[in-house]
Amino acid sequence: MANANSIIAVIGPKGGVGKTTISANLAIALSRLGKKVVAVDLDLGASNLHAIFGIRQSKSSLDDFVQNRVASLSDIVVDTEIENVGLVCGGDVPGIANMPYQKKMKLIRHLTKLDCDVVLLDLAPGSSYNVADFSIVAQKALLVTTPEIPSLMNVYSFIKAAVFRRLLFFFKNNGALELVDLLERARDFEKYPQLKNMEGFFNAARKINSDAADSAKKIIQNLNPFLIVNRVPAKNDTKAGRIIQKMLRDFLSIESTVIKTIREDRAVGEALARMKPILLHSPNSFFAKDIEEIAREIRG
Amino acid sequence: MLVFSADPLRGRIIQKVLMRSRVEPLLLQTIKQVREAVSQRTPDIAIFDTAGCFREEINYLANLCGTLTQTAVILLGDGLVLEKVEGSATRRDLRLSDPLDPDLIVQKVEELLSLKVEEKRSGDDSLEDTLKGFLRLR
Repeated sequence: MANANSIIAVIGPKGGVGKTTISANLAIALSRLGKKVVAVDLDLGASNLHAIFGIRQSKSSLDDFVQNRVASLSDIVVDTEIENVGLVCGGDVPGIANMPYQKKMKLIRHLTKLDCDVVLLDLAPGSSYNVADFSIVAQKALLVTTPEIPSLMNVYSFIKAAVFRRLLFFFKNNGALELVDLLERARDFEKYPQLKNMEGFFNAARKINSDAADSAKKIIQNLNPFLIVNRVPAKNDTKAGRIIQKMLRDFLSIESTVIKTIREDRAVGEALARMKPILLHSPNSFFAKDIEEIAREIRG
Repeated sequence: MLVFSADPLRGRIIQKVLMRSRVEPLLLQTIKQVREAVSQRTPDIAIFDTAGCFREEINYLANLCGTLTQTAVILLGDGLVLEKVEGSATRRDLRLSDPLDPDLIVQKVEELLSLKVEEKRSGDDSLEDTLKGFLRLR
């Protein structure tokens, strides 16, 4: 089996922002660019990626993998009837959303070994450890939001949580335990206002352990979030993206954020009602065009 | 920004003076093109030149002005024709009757552009402020 696939995680910190619709159509757009894609439904316990592909009932799903009924994840890849797009349907066995750690690690190992060019993960909403762990495995994480405030809040909080998690791992791995304590204090920034933004945190960290602080700062500066603002009224309406970008720079010291927009499009609702991917149902729609543009950007 | 003129010469004059002011408008010559352009994206600013238009085309433009609530529309043409577009949402100071005055058009566009930039900035500020408030980052 080849072990050279690229993993892309599609994350929607707020539910209902169009993450699953985007995942399915992005898989198709990538396949049209010559990639062999396997889309994996990791919205565990609430999976519906198969429905977007028009698959009513699948013979196999992640349940089979989790319950050891199959030896390999590749055994449960089902055909979507779209050339070069395979699908791993999500499971709904009780407790699958809280998969034991060892099981999760096994799943991650198998994901990296799937025989394809791109593994596209459709993750659950929220910022649970499952979502965080699967997104860390991914070479690229696409964060989906809508321009509304609740969704933007969740995106910001998700990225902040990811920054803290990454710093925590880094400090622990490098034995900088005093900075782990400082990071804990930074979580309560109302009590420690000087740690309200990452610049303040790094200034304080430098006084304790300048080498670890500078290395950690570089890691954060090099984070390159890829933000997809779905359902914008016009193609170049990047207002919401610009604001998140500014806040990430001001508060989290993240210098560069890629922003892509997908226009509001009634073709989406029509295609969903027919259980057909938009790229097949309305290939000339705004949604289809914007998805194709994103696929070109991330194909690598 | 888009410019519609059924008269190719007037259209090109308007486009050229705007481009001298570093504004690059989309020049359209038919109502069909206008319909397609606004359905794809609502323009911030539109210039509709009624010179050389048929009655139906003028009626269409008048109705369109009423629906483009987020667009600043400058209407050009014969004074009598512009009077008939009274019912549209266009501001009186943005109805520029013939003869065609390129400098006045540029002046109006520049005023509108700075207004739009200001609106955009205050819109950004208010969303950012609200977001920071919810995230306790103020």
